[in-house]
Amino acid sequence: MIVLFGVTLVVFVILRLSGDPVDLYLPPGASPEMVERYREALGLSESIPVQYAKFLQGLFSGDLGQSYYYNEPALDVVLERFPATLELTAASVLVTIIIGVPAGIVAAVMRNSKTDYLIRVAALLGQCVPVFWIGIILIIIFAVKLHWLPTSGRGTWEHLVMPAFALGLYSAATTARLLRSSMLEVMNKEYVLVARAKGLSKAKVVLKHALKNAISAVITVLGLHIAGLLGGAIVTETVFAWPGIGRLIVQSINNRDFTVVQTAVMLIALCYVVINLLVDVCYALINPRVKLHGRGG
Amino acid sequence: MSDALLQVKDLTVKFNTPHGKAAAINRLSFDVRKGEIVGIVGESGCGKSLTSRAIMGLLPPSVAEVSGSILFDGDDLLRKSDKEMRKIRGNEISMIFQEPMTSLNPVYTIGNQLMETILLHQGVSRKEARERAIDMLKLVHIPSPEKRMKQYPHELSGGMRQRVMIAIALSCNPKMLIADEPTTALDVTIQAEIIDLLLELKEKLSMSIIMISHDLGVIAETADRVVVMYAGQAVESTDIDSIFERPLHPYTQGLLKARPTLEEKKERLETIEGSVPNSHELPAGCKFHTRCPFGRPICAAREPGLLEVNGQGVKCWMHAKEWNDHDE
Amino acid sequence: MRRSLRTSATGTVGLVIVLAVLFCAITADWISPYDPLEQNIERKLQPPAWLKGGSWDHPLGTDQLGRDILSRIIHGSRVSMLISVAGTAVAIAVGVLLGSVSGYYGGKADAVIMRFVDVILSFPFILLAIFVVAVIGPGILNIILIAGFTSGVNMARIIRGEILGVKEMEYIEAIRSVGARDGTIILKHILPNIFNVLIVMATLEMAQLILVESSLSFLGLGVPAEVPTWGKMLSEFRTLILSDPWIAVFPGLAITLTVLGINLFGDWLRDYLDPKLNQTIK
Repeated sequence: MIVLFGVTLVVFVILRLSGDPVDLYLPPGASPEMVERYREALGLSESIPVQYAKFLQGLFSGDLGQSYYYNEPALDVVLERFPATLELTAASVLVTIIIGVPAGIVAAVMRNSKTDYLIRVAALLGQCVPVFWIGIILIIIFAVKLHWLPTSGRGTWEHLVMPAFALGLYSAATTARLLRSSMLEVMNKEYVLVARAKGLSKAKVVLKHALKNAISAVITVLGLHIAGLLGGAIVTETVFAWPGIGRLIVQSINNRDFTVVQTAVMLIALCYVVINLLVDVCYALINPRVKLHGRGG
Repeated sequence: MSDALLQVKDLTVKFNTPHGKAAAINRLSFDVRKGEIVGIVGESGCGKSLTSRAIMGLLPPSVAEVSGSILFDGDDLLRKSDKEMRKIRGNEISMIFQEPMTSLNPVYTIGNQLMETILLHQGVSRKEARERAIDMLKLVHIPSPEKRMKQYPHELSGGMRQRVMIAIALSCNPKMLIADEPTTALDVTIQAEIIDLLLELKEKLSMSIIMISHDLGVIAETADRVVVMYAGQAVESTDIDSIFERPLHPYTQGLLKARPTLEEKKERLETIEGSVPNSHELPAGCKFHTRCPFGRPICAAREPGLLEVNGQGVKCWMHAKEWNDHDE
Repeated sequence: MRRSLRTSATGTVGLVIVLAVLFCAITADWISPYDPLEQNIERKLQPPAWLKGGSWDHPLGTDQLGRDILSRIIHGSRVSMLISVAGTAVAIAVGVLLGSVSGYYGGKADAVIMRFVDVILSFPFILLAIFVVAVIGPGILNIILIAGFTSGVNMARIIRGEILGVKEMEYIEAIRSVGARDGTIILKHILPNIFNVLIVMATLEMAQLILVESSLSFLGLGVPAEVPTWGKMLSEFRTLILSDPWIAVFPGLAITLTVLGINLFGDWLRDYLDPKLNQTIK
């Protein structure tokens, strides 16, 4: 919780330090009185601590201010875009899991084979390509040349495929590498040998016994990635013209639309906290030696 | 030899090392009869644990080259596919390991891991499997078995975990149990309990046991017959009394002399000079001759065969008729 | 598996790539066939030499203003290298400073610093960068500082952990018992022990920074207009892919290869310095 407040405070202060939004909204040559009145209307004429106090006050009654640019409640503006970002994030997490997890398992089980080598190379490359470039290349191949998928925008599942893949690639690669090394470590443990001595098939040993132990490291990383994806999908959203929060934030920063930026950032930070909690829960579910204690921050 | 449950003949296990192919087990042969406990004793690196893995078929072919034959109830285990071996593992031949701390999977309950084997091999309902699991826990004298079923390995002590391992191994009533250093990682008092438990269960379930240990004390208390291994071979193979009263092989004699005893007062513990050679650096002829106080030229020249002396098996030139042939 | 550079194919390849890029960055002015800013509208949008319509005058083709792509790519390496190297240097400085204070002194300082780190890290990095750019304006120096700072904060956490471990070692107690000052202890005795970790982290951060910088310039928040950077080139070319798809390949390829080179070298370095290191770093 403290972190949440810290975040909002930092954002709040930085925004106000970054310059006067009023300049953007009034025609040039407006008189100083007009400027001053406008500023008052936006609540910007008071000192920063006072502004922050008012902001917190409004927060508790659910009022996060009015968007300067859109002239609607900032909360509405943000929430309108939220589902899109959520959709993209969820889809890319799916991509990460569907590609990354099996790859990691296969690479570990078939250690030092050609398949293992190929997977490791692919994973390494996956971590090196910039998101926006892979997005563009995908568009070139699948939309421009092959006409299988639409180039941009949001709509049917076809619109979702490429952005999800572009965004999820890096995480998938990291997951594959991490899971591979985690599995290798676990497979050397004695209880895996014991499981085989019981007569279990190799597949069962790998999937039931080894995986559950190896997956915890991956979950932590996955959690971090998800949180990062939420806000950081900016680049992907730009390339694919995906109407999500990331783009909103960038545009709002350019528009000096403080309220929207604040609200959006708060939302993202909140999600981050929620995801961290979920990760902790998952971790405790998987590993019985970990106990859930109350979170202090 | 006719009621031999297990017949290991000329078992050889070779590994690829940076120095070439090395035989970690070199034409090992021994038998285990029904209802008897055979102790395999030797220092670290002699290949005892490897033998148990070889019998269970747990050596991956890409890493180890296994040859010879292992006849179990007449069937050669080395000729079986992995699928066939899986039916045998945990079912007809079971194994318990040295480290109870790490032999149980930390993320599953005891009950889960116990029932797993039962469900796998006996095709009963979950409910029945659960009952059998609880029965097994009672058999190994674990108090409040129903409660234990829901617990996780880290909630149990080392001794109890080893009991659980035994319960798991015996849950399908195997004909043979391989115990690989089962007491080495335990406190002395717990050791005694586990040994008693194994002896009791052997009678109750009429199993054979292969007891692998480097601790002669454990072997003395449990084994009916003993196989002494050195550098991947069986150098002596006798019944328990003869081994202690009349050890024939110099290595066995050395092992026995190296133990501190309560009866004699010794100034210094006697050791066997030298150390166990690496599998890729085995000497020619008798593998022990470089450390043997009685060595003669013939020992370096040729490997001795397995000789029988008054019902005791020994692989040493000392007991062959060629021993007293000199080129003088 | 500790292998010397000569026996590790991937490590060598990585080093070669990195050196090549560095070379380009340093000698850009001399080895570029053209002035990267020179426009030539008649020659615009020429495909690369091996496609129809291209020529070896402009091996990688020209962009929408007729500028030679190869030259621009060579010059682009400057910005990338500069930012990643300088940024990493800043990161190390920040990370060591924060991590040392936090790890060595513990207590309140530690608590405060770690909370601060938490706050900063709970921001997706790009967002943070965008913010700060919005406030203090774009420009190479600013980007170096921002990137360095956030990486540094990340490193601080790891460094703190390492220092906590080293702190408990007996030789530190021994030094302290002869009255050495804190500063000396940290600089002369503790830091050299975490040197390996630092080096490896540094190489990984360098790779990250290249990706970050290119993302920022892709979004238009990078260095000011005339200087060509790979990210910026891609953002310019985005609208052209319908008609001239080949154009988007090269800048991205440059980024990927550079990052790949650093990663390959970094991986080898990590294995070489301490095979057990794999477990502490990511």
